[in-house]
Amino acid sequence: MTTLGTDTQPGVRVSTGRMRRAGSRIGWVLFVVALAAVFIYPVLMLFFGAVNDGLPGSSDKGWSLDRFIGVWTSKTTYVTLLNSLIIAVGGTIVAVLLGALFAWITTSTNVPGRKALTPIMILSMLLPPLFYGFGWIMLANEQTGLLNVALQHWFGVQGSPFNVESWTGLIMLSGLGFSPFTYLLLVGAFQNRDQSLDEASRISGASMLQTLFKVTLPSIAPALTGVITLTIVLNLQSFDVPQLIGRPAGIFVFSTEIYRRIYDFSPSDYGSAYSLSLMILAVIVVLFVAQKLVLGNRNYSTLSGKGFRREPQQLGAGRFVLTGVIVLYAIINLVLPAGAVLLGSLEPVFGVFGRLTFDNFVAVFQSPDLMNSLQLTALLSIFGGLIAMGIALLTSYVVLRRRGFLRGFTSLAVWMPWAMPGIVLALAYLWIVLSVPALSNLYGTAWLMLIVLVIATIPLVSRIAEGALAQISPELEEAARISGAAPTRVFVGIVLRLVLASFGAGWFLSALFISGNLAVPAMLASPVAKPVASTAYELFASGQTSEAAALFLIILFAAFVVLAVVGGISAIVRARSARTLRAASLRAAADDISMSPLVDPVTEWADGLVPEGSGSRP
Amino acid sequence: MPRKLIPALATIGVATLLLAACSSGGGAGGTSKTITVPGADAAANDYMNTLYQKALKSGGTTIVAYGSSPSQAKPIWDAFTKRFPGITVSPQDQSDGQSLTKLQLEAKSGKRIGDMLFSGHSGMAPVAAESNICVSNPTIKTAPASDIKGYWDNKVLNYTNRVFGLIYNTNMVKKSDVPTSWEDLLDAKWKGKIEMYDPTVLGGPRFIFADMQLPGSPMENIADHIISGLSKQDAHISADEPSVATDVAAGRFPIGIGVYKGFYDSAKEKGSPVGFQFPMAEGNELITSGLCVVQDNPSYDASLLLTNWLFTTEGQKTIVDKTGAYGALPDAPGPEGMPPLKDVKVFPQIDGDQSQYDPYFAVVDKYFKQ
Repeated sequence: MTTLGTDTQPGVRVSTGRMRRAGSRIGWVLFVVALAAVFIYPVLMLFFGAVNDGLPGSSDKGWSLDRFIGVWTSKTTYVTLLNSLIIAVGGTIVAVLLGALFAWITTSTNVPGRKALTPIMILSMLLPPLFYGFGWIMLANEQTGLLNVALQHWFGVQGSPFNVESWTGLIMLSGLGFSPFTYLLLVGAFQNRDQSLDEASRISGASMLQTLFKVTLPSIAPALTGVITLTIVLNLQSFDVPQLIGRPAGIFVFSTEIYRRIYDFSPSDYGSAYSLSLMILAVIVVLFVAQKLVLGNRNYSTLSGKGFRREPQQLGAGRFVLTGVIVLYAIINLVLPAGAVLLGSLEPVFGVFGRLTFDNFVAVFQSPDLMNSLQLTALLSIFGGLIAMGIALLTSYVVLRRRGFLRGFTSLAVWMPWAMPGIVLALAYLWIVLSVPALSNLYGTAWLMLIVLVIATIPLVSRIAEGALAQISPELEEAARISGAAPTRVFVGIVLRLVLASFGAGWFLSALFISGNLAVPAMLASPVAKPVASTAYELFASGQTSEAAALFLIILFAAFVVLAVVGGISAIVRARSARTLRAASLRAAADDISMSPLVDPVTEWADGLVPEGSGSRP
Repeated sequence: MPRKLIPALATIGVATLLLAACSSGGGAGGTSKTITVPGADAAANDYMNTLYQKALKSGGTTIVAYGSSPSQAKPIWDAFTKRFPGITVSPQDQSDGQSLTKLQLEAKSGKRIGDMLFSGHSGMAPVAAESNICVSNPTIKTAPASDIKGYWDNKVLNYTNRVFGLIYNTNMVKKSDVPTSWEDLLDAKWKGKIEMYDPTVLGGPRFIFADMQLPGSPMENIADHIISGLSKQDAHISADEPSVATDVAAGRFPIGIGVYKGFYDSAKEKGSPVGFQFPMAEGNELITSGLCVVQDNPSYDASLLLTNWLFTTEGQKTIVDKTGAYGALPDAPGPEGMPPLKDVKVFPQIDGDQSQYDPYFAVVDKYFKQ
C-alpha cells in the first residue's frame, strides 16, 4: 500500500488538481451565466418589450419603434416624470430632514427620550408601506377619515381639514415613510463625527439651528449625499403609497402609470409600459452616476485622534421641545396609522361608528381564499427571505474575496435590481416567461412570484451580508484552505457560521420586505397564487376596507411573533458566535492574525448603504 | 447551536412545504348521488348530472370567476354549491381592463387560470373580440335557445340584468323626501349632498348618462338637461365605485346615485342605515350582464354546469332573490318590492361596437370634465 501510494501519488495529485481547477472553472462559468440570466437578461427584455406592439413574449403584431418614440416624445410621459421627481425630491427632503434631525438628537444631544428613537424607527420600519398607506387613508381620507370625522363631530369643524389623497399627502407620506430608513442610515455618520466642531460653533455665538445647518450637516456631506440619492431612488421605485394615495388624486408616477397602462387600459398598452420602464431605469442610473461624479474620491473625514469628542451637547429648555417632537413623530408615524387600521378592522363597515365587532377577523379565518393567501405569504416570506439572504451572502462573498472580472460582473449584476422598481422587474420577467416556451408554465404560479421577489430583495439585504462578511478576516479562510479544506467547506464551515446572526437578521428583513411587497404581486399574482398584499389591496379597492384591515393586522401580528422568535434565536446565536469569535481572536492573536469585533447587523447594513467618508466607522 | 439550527429550520421548512402540498392536492372524485334541479326537465337534469360527474372526476371543481364584481354575487355561488356539493366558485374582482389583460396573457402562456368572465357589455366586447378566449355557443340545455340573448357569436350570454339606482342614508333623509325622479335631484336642496362615481371614466354612471341619451331612451329629450343640471350640483366624486354605498352608509353624504344594487345589499346586510330607490320616474338603467366560458379552462365541465344552472328556473330565481337583479329569461320574476320589468322605463344599450358610445360619452365629458 505504502509503495503503491508513493509511486502513484504525484500523478494522482496532478490529475486531481487539474480536475479540481477544471471543476472550479466550470462552476464559475455557471455562476456568471446564472447571474447574467437572472439579473442582466431581464433588462434586455425591457428593450424587446418597448419595441413590440403585441402581448409580452409575442411578435404577432410585429416590431416597431412607434410606441417607444411615442412614449419618449409624449407630453404625458414628462408629466409623469415631473410628478415622480416632485414626489421623490419632496419626499426625500422630508425624510432626510427628519432622519438627520433625529439622528442628531440621538447621537449628539441630551434630549430626554432620545433613547426611544431607535426602537421607534425600527418599529416604524416594520409597518409595510401598504399598511402604512391604508392607515393614513383611514385617518385622513377627505370623506371618511377618522381625523376629519373627529374634528367635525367633537369640534364642529365644517368641511374636511385633511385630505391625504393629494400632493401634500403624497409627499408627506413618502417622506414620513422613508424617515426611519434615513435615520438608520445617518445615525452612524453622526456618531462618528467630531462634535467639538459644533461646540466651537456654539461658543462663537451660533444658535442651535445655525450650528445644525452650517456645521453639523455639512460635516457629514458624503453620507448625506449617499442617503439623499438612495432615498430618491427608493421614492422613485415606490408603488404602494402612490397607488393608494396618488391614484385617487389623479397623480401618476412611473410605477403607477406603468400599472395603469397594463391593467386600466383596454386593451393593455404593453409597448408604452415597457418604454416607460426603460425611462425610469435610465433616470435611476443617471442618479447613481451623478452621485459618483459628485463625490469622487474627496476626503470628508472629520475624525482625528486629537479632540475627537462624543459628549452630548447640553441643550437648554429647547431640549423639551425636541422631546415633544419625538413624541409627535411617534404618534404620527406609528400610533395613528396602526391605531386607525386596528379600529377599522373592528368596524362592520369602515367609517360606521358605534358597533365594534370581530366579524372581519372571523370572515378572514372562514374564507379559504383568504387563508390560502395568508399561507402563501408565509411560505413566500420564509423561503424567499432565506433564498434572498443566501444569494446575497454568496454574491457579497464573491465581491469581497475575488478580483477582476468576476468581482466587477457580480457587483454589477447584483446592483441591477436597484435600478428596476418591483413593477418593472415583474414586467421584465413576464416577458421572459411568455417568450420562452419551457418557462410558460411558470405564468400565474407562486414560483414566478418567488423568483422575482427574491431578486427584488437581494440588493436590500446584500448590505447586511457585506457588513457581516467585512468583519471576517480573510486569513481565517486562507488558514482553512491551506489546511486542505475545500471552498464549500470553508464557506459553510467558517464564513456561514461566523455570520449566522447577521444572516438571521437579513432573513427576517427579507421576509418582512417580501410579505409587504405589492408591486410584484400587482403584476404577477393570480387567483391561485395571491399573497396578502395583493388580496388586501383588492379588498380595499372593492370597498371592503375593514376586511382588508383585519387581514393586514393578522399578517402584522404574525410578523411580530416571528420577530420575537427570530430575535430570541438571533440573540442566542450571536452570543455563541461572539464566544466563538473571541476564542478565534485569541488564537489569531497568538498567530498574529487580525480580527474585527462583531457589529450590530442593522447598523452595519445602514453603514453599508452610504459612501465612505465621515459616515464610515473608524 | 448553529449546527443544530440549520437542520431544524430545514426540517420545519420541508414540513411546511409538505403540509402546503397536501392541503392543496387531490380531486374530489365522483359521486353516485343524482341531483335534481327543481323546474328543470329530465334532459336538462341528465345533462347537468353528466357535467357534474365529469367535473368531480376531473378534479376541476373550483370555477375561477373574473369580473368587475363577481364577489357581490356570492349568494348565487353559495346556492349553486349547495345544489352541486363539491363545486365552488372563486370570485376575482378586478377592472374590465385587468380581466382582459389576464385572459390574454393566460391564453398566450397556455396556462389558463380564469374559467369564466362575468361583466357588462363594455367589459365583454373586447374579450369577445379575441379569437382564443370565449367559447362560442356553449351547450345550454336548461332553457330554449330562443329565450337566451347571446352576443358576439354567442360567446357572451345575457344571464341577468343588474339594477342601478339611488342609495340614501335613512338617518339623514326621510322616506318622503327621497328623490324619485332625475328632476328631483336637480333641486337646490341637494346641491353638494350627492355622491357618485366619476362619470368621466368607465363605470356605472358613465354608461347610465350615455344610455340615457340613446335614441329610443325614455329620457332621450331631457338627457342633456339632466346631465348638465347634475354637473352643476357639485356632486362629490367617490374614489371608487363601491365607495358610494359605504360613504352614504357612513353618513358622509345623504344620497348616492348610479349605485349598483349589490353594493347597497352589502351595506344593508352589515346593518347600515341605508335605503334604495328604484325605479326613477323618467328612466332607469338595467345593465345587461353577460357571462363567457373561457376556452380550455381548468374547470370546463364545472363552468358549463354553472352556466346551465344559471338558466334554470331555480338559477334565475336565485339571481332575483339573492341579488335583487332582474332575471334574463322572458318569464323570470322581478325582485321583491320592485315592479315587474314591463312596468319599468328602461334605457336601451348598445350591444355591438362599443365605439358607438363615443358621441354620448363626449356629452358626459363636456359637462363633467369642466
